[in-house]
Amino acid sequence: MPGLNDFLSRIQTDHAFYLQFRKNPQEALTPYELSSEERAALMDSGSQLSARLGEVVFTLTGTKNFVSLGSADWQFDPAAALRRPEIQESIAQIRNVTTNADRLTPVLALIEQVG
Amino acid sequence: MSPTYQTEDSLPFDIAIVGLGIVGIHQITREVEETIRRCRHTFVIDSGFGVVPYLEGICPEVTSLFSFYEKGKQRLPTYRRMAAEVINAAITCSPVCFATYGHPLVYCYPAVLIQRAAKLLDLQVETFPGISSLDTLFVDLGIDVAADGLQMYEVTDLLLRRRPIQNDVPCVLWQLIAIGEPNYQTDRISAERFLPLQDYLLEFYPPEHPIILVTSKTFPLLQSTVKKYRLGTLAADLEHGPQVGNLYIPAVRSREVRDHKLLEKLTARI
Repeated sequence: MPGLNDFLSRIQTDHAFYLQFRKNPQEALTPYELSSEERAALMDSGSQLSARLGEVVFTLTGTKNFVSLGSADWQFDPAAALRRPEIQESIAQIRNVTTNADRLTPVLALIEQVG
Repeated sequence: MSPTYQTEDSLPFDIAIVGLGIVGIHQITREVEETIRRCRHTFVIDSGFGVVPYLEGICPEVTSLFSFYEKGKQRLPTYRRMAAEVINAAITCSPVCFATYGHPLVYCYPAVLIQRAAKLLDLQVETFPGISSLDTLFVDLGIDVAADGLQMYEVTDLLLRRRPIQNDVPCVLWQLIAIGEPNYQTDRISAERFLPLQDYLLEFYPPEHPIILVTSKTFPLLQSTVKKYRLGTLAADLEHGPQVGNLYIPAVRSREVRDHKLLEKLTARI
Protein backbone atom coordinates (compact mmCIF):
# COMPACT_ATOMS: atom_id res chain seq x y z
CA MET A 1 0.00 0.00 0.00
CA PRO A 2 1.37 3.46 -0.82
CA GLY A 3 2.66 5.55 2.08
CA LEU A 4 3.35 9.16 2.99
CA ASN A 5 6.04 9.80 0.38
CA ASP A 6 3.82 8.42 -2.37
CA PHE A 7 1.04 10.71 -1.23
CA LEU A 8 3.30 13.79 -1.13
CA SER A 9 4.71 13.00 -4.57
CA ARG A 10 1.23 12.66 -6.02
CA ILE A 11 0.17 15.99 -4.48
CA GLN A 12 3.04 17.58 -6.40
CA THR A 13 2.52 15.86 -9.73
CA ASP A 14 -1.23 15.22 -10.01
CA HIS A 15 -3.13 18.48 -9.83
CA ALA A 16 -6.56 16.84 -10.00
CA PHE A 17 -5.62 14.71 -6.99
CA TYR A 18 -4.35 17.79 -5.16
CA LEU A 19 -7.71 19.50 -5.71
CA GLN A 20 -9.54 16.33 -4.66
CA PHE A 21 -7.57 16.31 -1.41
CA ARG A 22 -8.35 19.99 -0.81
CA LYS A 23 -12.06 19.27 -1.31
CA ASN A 24 -12.35 15.93 0.46
CA PRO A 25 -9.16 14.97 2.31
CA GLN A 26 -10.53 11.85 4.01
CA GLU A 27 -11.60 10.31 0.73
CA ALA A 28 -8.33 11.21 -1.03
CA LEU A 29 -6.33 9.58 1.76
CA THR A 30 -8.25 6.29 1.67
CA PRO A 31 -5.75 4.35 -0.51
CA TYR A 32 -2.74 5.41 1.57
CA GLU A 33 -1.28 3.59 4.52
CA LEU A 34 -0.55 6.35 7.02
CA SER A 35 -0.01 6.47 10.75
CA SER A 36 -2.50 8.45 12.80
CA GLU A 37 0.19 11.13 13.32
CA GLU A 38 0.82 11.40 9.59
CA ARG A 39 -2.89 11.58 8.88
CA ALA A 40 -3.37 14.31 11.50
CA ALA A 41 -0.44 16.28 10.11
CA LEU A 42 -1.82 16.16 6.57
CA MET A 43 -5.17 17.51 7.77
CA ASP A 44 -3.44 20.37 9.58
CA SER A 45 -1.67 22.41 6.84
CA GLY A 46 -0.03 24.45 9.58
CA SER A 47 2.69 23.72 12.10
CA GLN A 48 2.01 19.97 12.37
CA LEU A 49 2.33 19.46 8.64
CA SER A 50 5.28 21.79 8.49
CA ALA A 51 7.06 19.78 11.19
CA ARG A 52 6.25 16.52 9.45
CA LEU A 53 7.39 17.84 6.09
CA GLY A 54 10.50 19.21 7.74
CA GLU A 55 11.71 15.65 7.82
CA VAL A 56 11.43 15.31 4.08
CA VAL A 57 11.10 18.80 2.62
CA PHE A 58 13.83 21.37 2.70
CA THR A 59 12.65 24.81 3.65
CA LEU A 60 14.31 27.30 1.36
CA THR A 61 16.97 28.55 3.71
CA GLY A 62 19.82 28.09 1.26
CA THR A 63 20.23 31.57 -0.10
CA LYS A 64 21.70 31.98 -3.56
CA ASN A 65 23.00 35.50 -3.38
CA PHE A 66 26.00 37.10 -1.80
CA VAL A 67 26.56 40.70 -0.81
CA SER A 68 29.26 42.60 -2.57
CA LEU A 69 31.56 43.76 0.19
CA GLY A 70 33.80 45.87 -2.03
CA SER A 71 33.24 47.78 -5.22
CA ALA A 72 32.36 44.76 -7.37
CA ASP A 73 31.35 45.79 -10.87
CA TRP A 74 27.84 44.53 -11.54
CA GLN A 75 27.99 46.09 -15.02
CA PHE A 76 30.08 43.31 -16.54
CA ASP A 77 31.96 44.32 -19.70
CA PRO A 78 32.92 41.18 -21.69
CA ALA A 79 35.19 43.11 -24.09
CA ALA A 80 37.18 44.55 -21.20
CA ALA A 81 37.31 41.15 -19.53
CA LEU A 82 38.65 39.51 -22.69
CA ARG A 83 41.57 41.98 -22.73
CA ARG A 84 42.78 40.79 -19.32
CA PRO A 85 45.80 38.43 -19.70
CA GLU A 86 44.73 36.11 -16.87
CA ILE A 87 41.32 35.64 -18.50
CA GLN A 88 42.94 34.97 -21.88
CA GLU A 89 45.10 32.35 -20.20
CA SER A 90 42.13 30.66 -18.50
CA ILE A 91 40.22 30.53 -21.78
CA ALA A 92 43.23 29.03 -23.57
CA GLN A 93 43.53 26.35 -20.89
CA ILE A 94 39.82 25.60 -21.17
CA ARG A 95 40.17 25.17 -24.94
CA ASN A 96 43.25 22.96 -24.65
CA VAL A 97 42.01 20.26 -22.30
CA THR A 98 39.95 17.33 -23.50
CA THR A 99 38.36 15.83 -20.41
CA ASN A 100 35.63 17.27 -18.24
CA ALA A 101 37.61 16.61 -15.07
CA ASP A 102 40.68 18.46 -16.38
CA ARG A 103 38.62 21.37 -17.65
CA LEU A 104 36.85 22.07 -14.35
CA THR A 105 39.92 23.73 -12.81
CA PRO A 106 40.43 26.38 -15.53
CA VAL A 107 36.66 26.93 -15.76
CA LEU A 108 36.57 27.58 -12.03
CA ALA A 109 39.53 29.95 -12.40
CA LEU A 110 37.68 31.85 -15.11
CA ILE A 111 34.57 32.09 -12.92
CA GLU A 112 36.67 33.45 -10.05
CA GLN A 113 38.10 36.06 -12.41
CA VAL A 114 34.67 37.34 -13.43
CA GLY A 115 32.89 37.49 -10.12
CA MET B 1 8.48 1.98 -17.37
CA SER B 2 11.58 4.02 -18.05
CA PRO B 3 11.00 7.62 -19.12
CA THR B 4 11.47 8.79 -22.69
CA TYR B 5 13.32 12.04 -23.13
CA GLN B 6 13.00 14.76 -25.74
CA THR B 7 16.56 16.08 -25.78
CA GLU B 8 17.49 18.04 -28.87
CA ASP B 9 20.85 18.67 -30.49
CA SER B 10 20.02 21.99 -32.03
CA LEU B 11 18.47 24.46 -29.66
CA PRO B 12 19.07 28.21 -29.98
CA PHE B 13 21.10 28.17 -26.76
CA ASP B 14 23.82 26.18 -25.02
CA ILE B 15 22.66 26.97 -21.51
CA ALA B 16 19.12 27.53 -20.27
CA ILE B 17 18.79 29.34 -16.96
CA VAL B 18 15.36 28.64 -15.50
CA GLY B 19 13.38 29.31 -12.34
CA LEU B 20 11.33 26.55 -10.72
CA GLY B 21 9.12 28.68 -8.48
CA ILE B 22 8.71 28.49 -4.73
CA VAL B 23 6.13 25.81 -4.04
CA GLY B 24 7.60 22.98 -6.08
CA ILE B 25 6.32 21.31 -9.23
CA HIS B 26 3.00 23.22 -9.17
CA GLN B 27 4.84 26.44 -10.00
CA ILE B 28 7.09 25.15 -12.78
CA THR B 29 5.91 27.03 -15.85
CA ARG B 30 5.10 25.32 -19.11
CA GLU B 31 7.97 27.19 -20.75
CA VAL B 32 10.46 26.02 -18.14
CA GLU B 33 9.30 22.42 -18.27
CA GLU B 34 9.49 22.31 -22.06
CA THR B 35 13.00 23.74 -21.86
CA ILE B 36 14.20 21.20 -19.30
CA ARG B 37 12.73 18.39 -21.40
CA ARG B 38 14.97 19.39 -24.29
CA CYS B 39 18.23 19.73 -22.36
CA ARG B 40 20.75 16.92 -21.98
CA HIS B 41 21.68 17.70 -18.41
CA THR B 42 19.97 19.77 -15.72
CA PHE B 43 21.82 21.16 -12.72
CA VAL B 44 19.38 22.00 -9.97
CA ILE B 45 19.28 23.99 -6.74
CA ASP B 46 15.98 23.02 -5.17
CA SER B 47 15.31 20.48 -2.48
CA GLY B 48 11.57 20.86 -2.40
CA PHE B 49 9.88 17.51 -1.94
CA GLY B 50 9.72 15.55 -5.18
CA VAL B 51 11.31 18.21 -7.39
CA VAL B 52 14.53 16.38 -8.30
CA PRO B 53 12.75 13.04 -8.96
CA TYR B 54 10.30 14.92 -11.17
CA LEU B 55 13.11 16.51 -13.16
CA GLU B 56 14.76 13.09 -13.48
CA GLY B 57 11.61 11.95 -15.22
CA ILE B 58 11.88 14.62 -17.93
CA CYS B 59 15.64 15.09 -18.34
CA PRO B 60 18.15 12.23 -18.86
CA GLU B 61 20.76 13.59 -16.44
CA VAL B 62 20.01 15.62 -13.33
CA THR B 63 22.60 16.80 -10.84
CA SER B 64 21.62 18.45 -7.59
CA LEU B 65 23.99 21.26 -6.68
CA PHE B 66 22.68 21.37 -3.15
CA SER B 67 25.51 19.24 -1.87
CA PHE B 68 27.87 22.16 -2.55
CA TYR B 69 26.32 24.08 0.34
CA GLU B 70 28.29 23.28 3.47
CA LYS B 71 27.43 24.57 6.87
CA GLY B 72 29.98 27.14 8.01
CA LYS B 73 31.50 27.41 4.55
CA GLN B 74 31.58 30.73 2.67
CA ARG B 75 28.79 31.07 0.16
CA LEU B 76 30.73 32.81 -2.62
CA PRO B 77 33.09 29.87 -3.43
CA THR B 78 30.02 27.61 -3.37
CA TYR B 79 28.27 29.76 -6.00
CA ARG B 80 31.42 29.82 -8.14
CA ARG B 81 31.66 26.04 -8.01
CA MET B 82 27.99 25.69 -8.99
CA ALA B 83 28.51 27.99 -11.97
CA ALA B 84 31.69 26.17 -13.00
CA GLU B 85 29.88 22.81 -13.09
CA VAL B 86 27.25 24.21 -15.45
CA ILE B 87 29.73 25.96 -17.75
CA ASN B 88 31.97 22.89 -17.89
CA ALA B 89 29.09 20.65 -18.94
CA ALA B 90 27.87 23.17 -21.52
CA ILE B 91 31.22 23.13 -23.30
CA THR B 92 30.92 19.44 -24.21
CA CYS B 93 27.32 18.45 -23.78
CA SER B 94 25.04 21.36 -24.58
CA PRO B 95 22.21 22.16 -24.23
CA VAL B 96 22.33 22.08 -20.47
CA CYS B 97 20.05 23.69 -17.93
CA PHE B 98 20.66 25.52 -14.68
CA ALA B 99 17.43 25.29 -12.69
CA THR B 100 16.92 26.97 -9.38
CA TYR B 101 14.05 27.48 -6.97
CA GLY B 102 12.39 30.85 -7.29
CA HIS B 103 13.37 33.17 -10.11
CA PRO B 104 16.81 32.58 -11.62
CA LEU B 105 17.76 36.23 -11.77
CA VAL B 106 16.33 37.35 -8.46
CA TYR B 107 19.08 37.13 -5.86
CA CYS B 108 20.82 34.23 -7.60
CA TYR B 109 24.53 34.83 -7.98
CA PRO B 110 25.42 31.52 -9.70
CA ALA B 111 23.21 32.61 -12.62
CA VAL B 112 25.10 35.92 -12.84
CA LEU B 113 28.41 34.04 -12.98
CA ILE B 114 27.12 31.61 -15.61
CA GLN B 115 26.03 34.51 -17.82
CA ARG B 116 29.40 36.25 -17.51
CA ALA B 117 31.54 33.18 -18.20
CA ALA B 118 29.30 32.10 -21.07
CA LYS B 119 29.87 35.44 -22.82
CA LEU B 120 33.62 34.92 -22.68
CA LEU B 121 33.38 31.37 -24.03
CA ASP B 122 30.88 32.08 -26.85
CA LEU B 123 28.20 30.00 -25.20
CA GLN B 124 24.63 31.13 -25.86
CA VAL B 125 22.45 31.59 -22.79
CA GLU B 126 18.70 31.93 -22.63
CA THR B 127 16.91 32.72 -19.39
CA PHE B 128 13.35 31.77 -18.47
CA PRO B 129 11.67 33.35 -15.45
CA GLY B 130 10.20 31.53 -12.49
CA ILE B 131 7.86 32.58 -9.72
CA SER B 132 9.95 34.37 -7.12
CA SER B 133 9.37 34.84 -3.41
CA LEU B 134 8.48 38.44 -4.25
CA ASP B 135 5.57 37.13 -6.31
CA THR B 136 4.43 34.83 -3.51
CA LEU B 137 4.84 37.66 -0.98
CA PHE B 138 2.32 39.76 -2.91
CA VAL B 139 -0.12 36.85 -2.80
CA ASP B 140 0.52 36.04 0.85
CA LEU B 141 -0.09 39.66 1.85
CA GLY B 142 -2.85 40.29 -0.69
CA ILE B 143 -1.26 43.54 -1.82
CA ASP B 144 -0.85 45.33 -5.12
CA VAL B 145 2.16 47.63 -5.25
CA ALA B 146 0.45 50.00 -7.67
CA ALA B 147 -0.66 52.36 -4.90
CA ASP B 148 2.66 53.44 -3.39
CA GLY B 149 5.29 51.56 -5.39
CA LEU B 150 7.93 49.34 -3.86
CA GLN B 151 11.57 49.50 -2.79
CA MET B 152 13.63 46.47 -1.91
CA TYR B 153 17.06 45.70 -0.56
CA GLU B 154 19.15 42.77 0.51
CA VAL B 155 19.14 43.07 4.29
CA THR B 156 22.92 42.91 4.85
CA ASP B 157 23.56 45.25 1.92
CA LEU B 158 21.08 47.73 3.45
CA LEU B 159 23.17 47.90 6.62
CA LEU B 160 26.54 47.74 4.87
CA ARG B 161 25.86 50.69 2.59
CA ARG B 162 23.47 52.53 4.90
CA ARG B 163 21.08 52.71 1.98
CA PRO B 164 18.46 55.43 2.42
CA ILE B 165 14.88 54.23 2.84
CA GLN B 166 11.94 56.21 1.56
CA ASN B 167 9.35 55.63 4.28
CA ASP B 168 6.37 56.60 2.11
CA VAL B 169 7.11 53.62 -0.15
CA PRO B 170 6.62 50.01 1.06
CA CYS B 171 9.92 48.19 1.51
CA VAL B 172 10.88 44.53 1.09
CA LEU B 173 14.06 43.29 2.79
CA TRP B 174 15.52 40.07 1.40
CA GLN B 175 17.56 37.24 2.88
CA LEU B 176 16.85 37.77 6.55
CA ILE B 177 18.46 34.42 7.33
CA ALA B 178 21.80 35.59 5.89
CA ILE B 179 21.94 38.87 7.81
CA GLY B 180 25.55 39.79 8.48
CA GLU B 181 26.72 36.27 7.64
CA PRO B 182 28.92 35.40 4.63
CA ASN B 183 28.88 31.69 5.45
CA TYR B 184 26.12 29.20 4.85
CA GLN B 185 24.44 28.67 8.22
CA THR B 186 21.32 26.91 9.36
CA ASP B 187 21.57 27.77 13.07
CA ARG B 188 18.99 30.06 14.60
CA ILE B 189 19.95 33.71 14.82
CA SER B 190 20.08 35.57 18.12
CA ALA B 191 18.41 38.93 18.81
CA GLU B 192 21.87 40.54 18.92
CA ARG B 193 22.37 39.92 15.20
CA PHE B 194 19.03 41.54 14.39
CA LEU B 195 19.62 44.60 16.59
CA PRO B 196 21.64 46.61 14.03
CA LEU B 197 18.75 46.15 11.60
CA GLN B 198 16.20 47.29 14.17
CA ASP B 199 18.33 50.32 15.09
CA TYR B 200 18.86 51.29 11.47
CA LEU B 201 15.17 50.99 10.58
CA LEU B 202 14.31 53.16 13.58
CA GLU B 203 16.06 56.02 11.77
CA PHE B 204 13.22 55.92 9.24
CA TYR B 205 10.19 54.53 11.05
CA PRO B 206 8.57 55.02 14.48
CA PRO B 207 8.97 52.19 17.03
CA GLU B 208 5.30 51.25 16.80
CA HIS B 209 5.44 50.84 13.01
CA PRO B 210 4.45 47.34 11.83
CA ILE B 211 6.95 45.10 10.08
CA ILE B 212 5.86 41.80 8.62
CA LEU B 213 7.82 38.59 8.16
CA VAL B 214 6.43 36.58 5.25
CA THR B 215 7.40 32.93 4.92
CA SER B 216 5.82 31.64 1.76
CA LYS B 217 4.78 28.02 1.58
CA THR B 218 7.24 25.68 -0.10
CA PHE B 219 4.84 22.78 -0.49
CA PRO B 220 1.28 22.96 -1.87
CA LEU B 221 -0.41 21.69 1.29
CA LEU B 222 1.37 24.08 3.63
CA GLN B 223 0.12 27.52 4.55
CA SER B 224 2.32 30.55 4.21
CA THR B 225 2.99 32.30 7.49
CA VAL B 226 2.65 36.04 7.97
CA LYS B 227 4.01 37.31 11.30
CA LYS B 228 3.39 40.91 12.24
CA TYR B 229 5.85 42.59 14.58
CA ARG B 230 6.47 46.13 15.87
CA LEU B 231 9.73 47.72 14.86
CA GLY B 232 10.58 48.68 18.43
CA THR B 233 10.79 45.02 19.47
CA LEU B 234 11.77 43.53 16.12
CA ALA B 235 15.10 41.97 17.14
CA ALA B 236 13.68 40.21 20.19
CA ASP B 237 10.62 39.03 18.26
CA LEU B 238 12.65 37.70 15.32
CA GLU B 239 14.82 35.68 17.69
CA HIS B 240 11.76 33.56 18.46
CA GLY B 241 10.11 33.76 15.03
CA PRO B 242 10.50 31.60 11.90
CA GLN B 243 13.59 33.61 10.72
CA VAL B 244 13.06 32.39 7.15
CA GLY B 245 11.46 34.64 4.59
CA ASN B 246 11.33 38.26 3.54
CA LEU B 247 10.43 41.30 5.60
CA TYR B 248 7.76 43.68 4.38
CA ILE B 249 7.52 47.18 5.81
CA PRO B 250 4.36 49.09 4.89
CA ALA B 251 4.61 52.79 4.08
CA VAL B 252 4.27 55.20 6.96
CA ARG B 253 1.97 57.39 4.87
CA SER B 254 1.00 57.97 1.26
CA ARG B 255 2.85 60.71 -0.58
CA GLU B 256 0.69 63.71 -1.37
CA VAL B 257 0.15 64.97 -4.91
CA ARG B 258 2.64 67.71 -5.83
CA ASP B 259 1.84 68.35 -9.47
CA HIS B 260 -1.66 69.79 -9.26
CA LYS B 261 -1.70 70.85 -12.88
CA LEU B 262 -1.16 67.26 -13.97
CA LEU B 263 -3.83 66.11 -11.52
CA GLU B 264 -6.29 68.59 -12.96
CA LYS B 265 -5.49 67.42 -16.46
CA LEU B 266 -5.94 63.77 -15.48
CA THR B 267 -9.17 64.30 -13.57
CA ALA B 268 -10.67 66.53 -16.24
CA ARG B 269 -10.95 63.51 -18.52
CA ILE B 270 -12.84 61.41 -15.99
